[in-house]
Amino acid sequence: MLRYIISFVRALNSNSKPSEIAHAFSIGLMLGFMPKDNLLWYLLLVFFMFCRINKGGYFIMMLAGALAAPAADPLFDKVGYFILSWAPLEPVFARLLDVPFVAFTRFNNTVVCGALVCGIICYVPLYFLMRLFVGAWRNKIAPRFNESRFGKFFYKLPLVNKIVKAAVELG
Amino acid sequence: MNKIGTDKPSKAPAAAAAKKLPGLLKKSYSKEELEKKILDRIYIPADRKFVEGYFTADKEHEDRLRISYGMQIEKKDFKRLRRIAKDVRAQKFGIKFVPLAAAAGFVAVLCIVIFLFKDIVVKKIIVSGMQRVFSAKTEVGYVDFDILGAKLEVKNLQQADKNDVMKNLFQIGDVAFDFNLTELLRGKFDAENITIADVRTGTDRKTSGYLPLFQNKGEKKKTEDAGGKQNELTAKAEAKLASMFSGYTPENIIKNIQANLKSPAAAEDAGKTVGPLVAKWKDRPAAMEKSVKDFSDSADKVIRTDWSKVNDPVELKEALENINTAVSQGQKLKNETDLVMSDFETDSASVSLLSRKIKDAAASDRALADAEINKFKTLKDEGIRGVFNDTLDAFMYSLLGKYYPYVDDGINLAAKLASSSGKSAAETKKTSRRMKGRDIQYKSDTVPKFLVQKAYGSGPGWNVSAEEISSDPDRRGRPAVFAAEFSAAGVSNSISAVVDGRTATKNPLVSADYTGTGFPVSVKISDSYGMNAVSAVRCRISGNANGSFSAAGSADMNNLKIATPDFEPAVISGVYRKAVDSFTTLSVDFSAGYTRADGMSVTLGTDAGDRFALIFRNLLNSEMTEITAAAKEQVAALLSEKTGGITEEIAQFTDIQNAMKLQQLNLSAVNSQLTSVKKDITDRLVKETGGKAARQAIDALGGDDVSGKLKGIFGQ
Repeated sequence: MLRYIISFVRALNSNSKPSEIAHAFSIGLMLGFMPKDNLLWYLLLVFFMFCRINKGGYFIMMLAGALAAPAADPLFDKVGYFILSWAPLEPVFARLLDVPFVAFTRFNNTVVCGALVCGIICYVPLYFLMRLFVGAWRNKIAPRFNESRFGKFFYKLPLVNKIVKAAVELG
Repeated sequence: MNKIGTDKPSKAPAAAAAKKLPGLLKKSYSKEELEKKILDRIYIPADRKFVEGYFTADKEHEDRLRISYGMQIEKKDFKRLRRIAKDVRAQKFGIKFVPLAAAAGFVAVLCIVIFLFKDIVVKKIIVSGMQRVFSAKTEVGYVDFDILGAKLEVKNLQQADKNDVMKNLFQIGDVAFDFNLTELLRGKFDAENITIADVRTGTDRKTSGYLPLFQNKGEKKKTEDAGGKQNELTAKAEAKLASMFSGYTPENIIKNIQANLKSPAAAEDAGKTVGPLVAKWKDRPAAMEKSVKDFSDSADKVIRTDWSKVNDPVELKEALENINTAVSQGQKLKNETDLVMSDFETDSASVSLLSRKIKDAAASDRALADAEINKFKTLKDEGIRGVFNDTLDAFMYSLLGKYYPYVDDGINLAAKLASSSGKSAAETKKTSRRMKGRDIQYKSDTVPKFLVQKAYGSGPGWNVSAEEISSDPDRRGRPAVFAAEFSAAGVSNSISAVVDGRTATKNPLVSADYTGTGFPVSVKISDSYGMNAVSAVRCRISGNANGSFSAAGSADMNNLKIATPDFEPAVISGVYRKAVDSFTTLSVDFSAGYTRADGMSVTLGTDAGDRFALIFRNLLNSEMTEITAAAKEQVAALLSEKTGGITEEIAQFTDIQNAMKLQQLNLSAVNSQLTSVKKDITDRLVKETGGKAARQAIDALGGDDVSGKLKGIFGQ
């Protein structure tokens, strides 16, 4: 976990693309929301492992999403049921279910479908929010924080010191 | 401290040549190119300013910018430039195609490997699953799993018998599955048809089928439970037999009689008196005989003379005198004999008294013996019915204990099939905090995760069929149905079973009917207790998901051979064994139940106990007649032994008495003859000497001193 935090902090303070961090957060949240007892989750997990996104942010957000998901399950169930029972899409879903292996994805489960859709819905705003945050961090927050007395004190904390050193070594 | 994003020059003198920078920073760029390729990709303003500060006008191209080739850069700045260049270079297209392709390749290889080794994998799964169920080795000769053809073929499947590891429980030559590939790829196993051919049972194995791994503890306990009950019943039967017949031993009765006999004491008492008396009188008859004989011999000449032919008065006178002498001797001998006999009669009275006492004691002893022996006739054998029934119960417990694990395994399997959906939901709740959600179906989905729609197997002497074996009977809306008929080793079996795992049903989870003829029953509780028979069995079994089951049916057994241990007394044990041996048929209605809480219970409904009791009683009566006669003989011999000596002595004494009386009689006879001869001589003498005077003289003499008187008459 510490490794993911270091990776994320380093990415935040380096010249990595803000979109990588924003995508990582959005995808992580989406996968965190989804139940893990279906093939779809594993396929997405593996696929996104091959994408250039910040793995630290990806796993941190996945964990955060998984922690928040049980509370949001009733919402996912409602959304999922709405999507799955939406008449225009029913023939598509029915045909999809007849496709070999697709049933393993459990996309026809209300929670799986609802979590996926909610994850996708959250994707766009979260992406832009994260881009804004990264830009603000790099342009305004970080320089001021570094120059502030609190910032200097903060960097002297042993744990923070270790994380920063590790981030430099990784870089 | 390295404050990332800040520019704080160092005073360190170390420097590096610009030519050692990464290629990205060594190239020459136009202003636009520099913006696009480098500066726009640097997101930290301080870094951008820092990099931009190093780019100066290119000496070789006027309108282009570059980091001067010969420039010396401080080590710290050099590192920072290199790090920034690395960050910029890392900004590529979003997907890593090479690793993705490698992963796809790996998956493809995995698929190929699975395709190549699918038969081995399926074989392992079959072997592992069957070994788990049957607790003995499973061997599979050939497996062909055609994924695209949706077909699985298994050949030469051998399942060892855990109870006889050198035999196969069954051997199947060929099994073919036709399954629904579409459903399989949707994560469901739907076997549309299963055919099984060339099934044989009880075939010999070349290698042992023993499998120690799957001897699970639960099963052992089950067997122990049944063993405990049957041992309890056999112990109860043995204890009952022992208590029922413990008092009925001829040896004990003889001992009891012997302890209470009066004859020996009476005989001993009499022996003290009779013995000396016999010794006292034993020579007397011989002495008397001699005296009487001598006297008889002496009188014999006078007695045998024919005095009617003698006419000489003198001679007659002499003869009369001799007779008188003989008569006197006879009288004297008689007096002596009478005196002895008087003495003897006193002793004889004592002996008679003792003899009567002995007879009375013997009569009392015989009455005692009869009373003791009659105990056999009052033998209480009412409990023998219960004993036999307990023994039968023990055998039934053992028999059911033998087949119970199979029934239990079957019910457990049925329970797993029945409650798979509910169970998984419960397990999910335990392991996950997530909602289960709802699976939306767009078609009527009647295919559960595991389904065998139809299965059929047949061959010479057997056929098997099954329908609707599913992991979710609710989804199918139908219970699973099984039917089988097969004959093996002279046993004809017919089974039909319904497994109804639907949640809303009121039927029991398992209900099965079994009919079997020629069914070999072989029960061995211990070395002493065993039962073998050939039976026809009809049975109905109902089982519930909680593992409890009940069975009710009947069994008609022939060629029944029951082995029971010997017990004391040996006589009764022999009778019991004869009764058991003659008991060759048995009809039993049975009902058995099992619950995890209370264990197994068996109730038998049979007249076997009554029939056995009748046979036992008849045999026992017959045996008792022989036993009674033998006991009486033994008692008679005992009495004879105890009173034999005194009886003999009394007999001797009686012989003495008889002999003495005989001599007394002999003496009396001789005396009578002498008296008669004296009268004849006297009459002759009177006649020859002249009539009445002589007669009167003789009469006057009274006959006592006839010779003296006659002297006066004859002048001599």
